[in-house]
Amino acid sequence: MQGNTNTKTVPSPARLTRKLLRILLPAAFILIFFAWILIPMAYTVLWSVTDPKAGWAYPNALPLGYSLDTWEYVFKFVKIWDPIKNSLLIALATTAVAFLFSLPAAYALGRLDLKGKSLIKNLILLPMILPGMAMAIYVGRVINRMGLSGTYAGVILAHCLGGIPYMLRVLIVGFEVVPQDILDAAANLGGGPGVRFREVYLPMIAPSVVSGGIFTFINSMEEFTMTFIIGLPTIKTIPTVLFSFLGESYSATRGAVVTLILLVPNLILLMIVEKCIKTEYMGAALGKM
Amino acid sequence: MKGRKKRFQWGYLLLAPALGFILFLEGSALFMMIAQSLGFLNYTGEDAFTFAHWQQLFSRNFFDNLMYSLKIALLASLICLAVVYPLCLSIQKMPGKKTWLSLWKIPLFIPALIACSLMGNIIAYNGALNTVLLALKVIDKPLSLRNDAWGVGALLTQVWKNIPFMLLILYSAIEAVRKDVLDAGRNLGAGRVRLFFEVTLPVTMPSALVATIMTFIKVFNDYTISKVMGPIYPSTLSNLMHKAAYTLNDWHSAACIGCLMVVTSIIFVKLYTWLSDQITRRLS
Repeated sequence: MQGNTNTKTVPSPARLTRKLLRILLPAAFILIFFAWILIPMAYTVLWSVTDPKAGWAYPNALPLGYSLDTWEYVFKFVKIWDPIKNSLLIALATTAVAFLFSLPAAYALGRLDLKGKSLIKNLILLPMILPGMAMAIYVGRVINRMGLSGTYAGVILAHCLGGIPYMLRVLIVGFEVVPQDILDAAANLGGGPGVRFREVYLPMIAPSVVSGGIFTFINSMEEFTMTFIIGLPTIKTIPTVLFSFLGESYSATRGAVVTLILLVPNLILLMIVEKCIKTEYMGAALGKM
Repeated sequence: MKGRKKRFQWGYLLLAPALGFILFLEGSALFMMIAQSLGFLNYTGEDAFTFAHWQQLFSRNFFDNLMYSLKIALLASLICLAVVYPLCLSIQKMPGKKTWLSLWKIPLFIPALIACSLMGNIIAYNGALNTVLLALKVIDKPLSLRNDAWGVGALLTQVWKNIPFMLLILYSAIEAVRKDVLDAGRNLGAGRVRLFFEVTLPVTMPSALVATIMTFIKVFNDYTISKVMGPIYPSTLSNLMHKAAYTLNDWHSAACIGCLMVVTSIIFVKLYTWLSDQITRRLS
């Protein structure tokens, strides 16, 4: 430590290297970041504006021609508006239903002294743990028995199964952080259970409702296997359309357009999450499984 | 005392909508799966209790798929772990680390199918990877990585998709390493490498294990990424199950595979809860 203070006038080689590293390391880091996350996105944008007639194949490093034909094709002939509407509708309904189902349970788990709380919390996590495809197939059979295969109701119920754990976990944290003294004060001033709920709980859990809602919404927007098993062929969402372009009828250009259609709203939601939502809700939804 | 008991029961009633919904759907699905694996719920013939489907399950086909699932899951989680440690350490030293952290989290919000589409464009013949490797003259023919026999495409996509999740867990663990311990080590003359191996690594090991297990389960149970990016044969158990049920109409075998996947997941989750208990005990 003492040696460092004396080398102000004559920079030693070690000091110079350290200074250089201080510039080079962040630069390298930024480069890796761009290569890792932004280059895939840039390629997808390029593919989406590649002229299908000119094409883009090896050994060309860039497309041979650019046009918006694929965008036009997807919106005109794939009828992409229906899947977009379906996805949004199902995601909104899932969020609403999951919220209504979760609210009482979140209150009970967040505020009340219940025996076997940790067991119940683990049971609620079941849909996050069990293998997606295996459960989708058999939940699909159950929903089929209920006569809801290929209906909005069936798909929304199946999406709720994936959404409720997120919603519940975030809401439980929301209820847990409501300070007891405010509730006591409200009770002292004569507020009954209804008043306490409306005037104290609701405003205080509002942020967790918003973040739980966003997580449930995103989860439903990207849910593929459940829709694939239960919704198809009558109900198509954006992921199932994308799957058909990536798998059965492979088309890099159309796949790229559908990718961007699903990617942009998700990134906007991510920014909202990062900007407005407290880290504890984020941790509750994603962190400890 | 009486009032307390009353509130007690009322609380359980509140759990009914959410818990009842989950238990009803998951429970009846699991019940149907187990029943079908034992020969009941036969769609084409007579119901009969039999272990025959379990005995037929263990074929060459099944073991190939099982080995593939294990291989991809193990490799993806280990590669993620190897990448995430240096990533965390360098993010920690960066100016504006919060922004970088949230930028690195982007793939967490990107659905698996989109990750496939993004990575597919990168590893295509005319993609960035082949272009760069060709320009550097590392290879003289473009590599075929999508649906390749070994599963490089699927592996890359899994790594890309799962790094942010691990980053989230490990970054908070590395941030929690006490600075005074690191300073003490530095005062005693330990270099950066030695500090990492003797302080940071052992302290963050439990979180690393937990993150690895979680990634392992996710990759092991994956359907989409292997279907789109992975080899045609072998594929993951989820793919085998879907094929057995919907293409071959062999619902009993599909049920057996499903049961096996559920059991594997539960075993690993038990391992996870045991480990996180261990961590909380160590921290407190």
